Amino acid sequence: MKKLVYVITLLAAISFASLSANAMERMYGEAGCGLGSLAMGADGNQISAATTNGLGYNQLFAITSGTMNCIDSASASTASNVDNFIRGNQVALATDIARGQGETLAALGDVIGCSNKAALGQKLQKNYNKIFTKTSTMKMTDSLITIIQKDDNLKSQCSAVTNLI
Amino acid sequence: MVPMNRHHFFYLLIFTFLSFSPQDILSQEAGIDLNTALQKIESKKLWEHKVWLRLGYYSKKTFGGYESLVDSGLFFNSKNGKFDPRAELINNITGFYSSTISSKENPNSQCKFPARLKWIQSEVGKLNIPNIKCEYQTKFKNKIKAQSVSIVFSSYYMNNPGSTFGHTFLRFNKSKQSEVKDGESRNELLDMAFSYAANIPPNAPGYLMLGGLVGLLPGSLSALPYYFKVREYNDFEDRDLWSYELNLSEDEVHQLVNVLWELSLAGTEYYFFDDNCAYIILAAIETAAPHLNITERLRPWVIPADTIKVVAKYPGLVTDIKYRPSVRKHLFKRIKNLSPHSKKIFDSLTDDKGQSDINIFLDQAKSTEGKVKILDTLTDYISFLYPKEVQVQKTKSYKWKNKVLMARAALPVSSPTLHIKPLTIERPDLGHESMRFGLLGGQHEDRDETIIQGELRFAIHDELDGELGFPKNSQVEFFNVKARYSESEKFKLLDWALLRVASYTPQDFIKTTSSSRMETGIRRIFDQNCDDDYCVGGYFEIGKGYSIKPFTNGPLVTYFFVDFEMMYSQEFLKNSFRVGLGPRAGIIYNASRDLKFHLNGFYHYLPWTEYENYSEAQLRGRWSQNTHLAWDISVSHRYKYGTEGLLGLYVYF
Repeated sequence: MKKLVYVITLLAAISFASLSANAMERMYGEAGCGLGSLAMGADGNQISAATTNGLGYNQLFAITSGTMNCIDSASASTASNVDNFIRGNQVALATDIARGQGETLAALGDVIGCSNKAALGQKLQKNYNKIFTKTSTMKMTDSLITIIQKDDNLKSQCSAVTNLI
Repeated sequence: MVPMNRHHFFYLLIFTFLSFSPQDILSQEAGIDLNTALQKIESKKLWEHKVWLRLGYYSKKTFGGYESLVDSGLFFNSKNGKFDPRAELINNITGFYSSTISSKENPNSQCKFPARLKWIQSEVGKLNIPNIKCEYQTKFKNKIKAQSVSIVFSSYYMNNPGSTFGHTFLRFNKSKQSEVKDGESRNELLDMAFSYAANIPPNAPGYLMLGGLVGLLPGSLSALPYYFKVREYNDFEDRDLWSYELNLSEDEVHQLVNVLWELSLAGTEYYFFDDNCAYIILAAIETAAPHLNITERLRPWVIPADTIKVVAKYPGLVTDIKYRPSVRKHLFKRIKNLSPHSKKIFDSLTDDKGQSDINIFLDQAKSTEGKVKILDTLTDYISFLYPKEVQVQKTKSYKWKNKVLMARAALPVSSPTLHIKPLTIERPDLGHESMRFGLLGGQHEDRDETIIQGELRFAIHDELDGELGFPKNSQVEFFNVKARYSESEKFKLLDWALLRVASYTPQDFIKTTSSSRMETGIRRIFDQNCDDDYCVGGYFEIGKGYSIKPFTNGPLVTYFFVDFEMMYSQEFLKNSFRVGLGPRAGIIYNASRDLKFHLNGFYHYLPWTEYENYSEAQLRGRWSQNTHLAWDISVSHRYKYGTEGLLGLYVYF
């Protein structure tokens, strides 16, 4: 079964290789992986929908029918992985980026496959305003990836971005 | 079209190569056929095997036969699978030989029941079954990438009646703690957390909790990245998290993933004190690791803290215990780390609430290091104080925090890691057992007679019990019954509290936290509004108020509440239903972890009754000799009923 995943990853790599843009920019309004939006309450509250003992029927449906997109994300792109991560962690991530280090920042580093977390922290700290003045998660993701892409050194150290020309 | 270059050609080559792996050919040659497999299970009577019964969550019924805990038909291949382990086993095996292509809507048996398949093959040998591609199951496994597994306990949370007993869930770790260098902790945020809970819709009103208690709501399993749990419990609800990493082999961990995959297809009814999150998790673990017998150590009713105690005490089961402090603990540590000068600047910044330019204040700091400390403390302060608002871009708090973070990001240094030592005193597995039996004897002064009082509590803690492993100044009791004997009154029920919750959380200098109490049950009525000298009634009481520490860091907590009561008894002189209102006040003296005193009194005004005034006062002290034994002494005065003193002991078991 592993091979299926390899194939999907490779296919994803091929389609990304065909993209050639300097700045990461996407069509807005695509849904991405559903989990983040599930956990996002109507008032923008990240966690109100995933309360302690109460889980939404959507999640029940998702897990019973196996459609939960996060499980699906072997095929999802780097960008939507980052989207999901920001949706769930925006408050803590903004804090860590401003501080230049932290657990949430390190986890973001894992999501985009960065081997040098300290360099990532420094770079993003410098560009805090560029990322967090954006009003939507997807725009934050795009600016974050663009910042890494434009730094040749960092780009080569972050495997999920290396392939994005 | 993408023009093909050398790289693409290379990928295509790999693609072609991977599609013809030798495994495919091998798997179709080896293995036993269906008839042989069925003969083998028949001769071995495999459906009576411990592991098969566990895989189906079967338990023996009182009058013979079996019944599974799981209700959903999706969990069984046989129509009568819930009650017939044999039919289910046979149908499963037949199902595995089916060559139906698996789809989302109609999964092949191999894809639905990987744990059962694995176990059956370990018992009867390799089955010669078609090679089915289970796309979703594979993705599920790859997402989890489990190396080890931990049971996580989120500490008691008084603000939500469903969480007062804490909550347990599983976390699959992408690496083991033992493989991490000394002094470093692995990043857990991207691990997968599995939680079993009643399907209470978000923001549901409190009465739905009762639905969960009696099993009216279906329960289900959810899988979320651990960071959701961290954000929810640590950051949003200000609760600590304790992780207990389990000593399971890699094979057992993988089988546990299979077991949960099977369980996730089905729902079970959710009984708060029976088939709850705590029970299901342990049942799944021992299904995957059959050499463990954990659930037999549990009582018929389980609360999350009991699971943690059972797991921690199980010989050799826990390899590592990890503490993840709440946002409050982070903030207090940071404040403690501020120099007096920095603290002053911090205080003026919190007073300003983000109105003015932050740098005006910051310029007074002596060094960049000082500035960093102040801003980092301020960030945690805002996040702690306004956990909900900081998530929404339009709010004042969000803007304030963003301003602070912009100032912080402008300082090109990275903050030192904050180290917070685990508060061992709060470790949930160290606390006293949750059941308590009490035997007390004493004297009623006015009647001049001896009283003997017996008590039994099912769970879990009150403000005078030893505080190791429990939150201070709080009470969560379920089913506490007290009865007494005296010469004149004979054997009589004193009270029977179904649920009693109270928190006397003292104000700190940062957040205004209200205290509250709630209790409901049946109790003896002392206010003389009854026909007889002795009568009982059903009651519901609720109180709201504030607690303060008269001396910062001192052992005293004082509180003041406004109480409201409702009571029903057919033996009332006038109406059988009444209400009451009045003040309640008290002082708790935490002399030490194990020695505590509580002085309290209340007055209730009971309009439209014969005797409209009632009051009570009590002084009580308790010394916990160890986690199993405590000594208790009390003096109580009830209006018109008189004064009594009691002395006795409590046994926790």
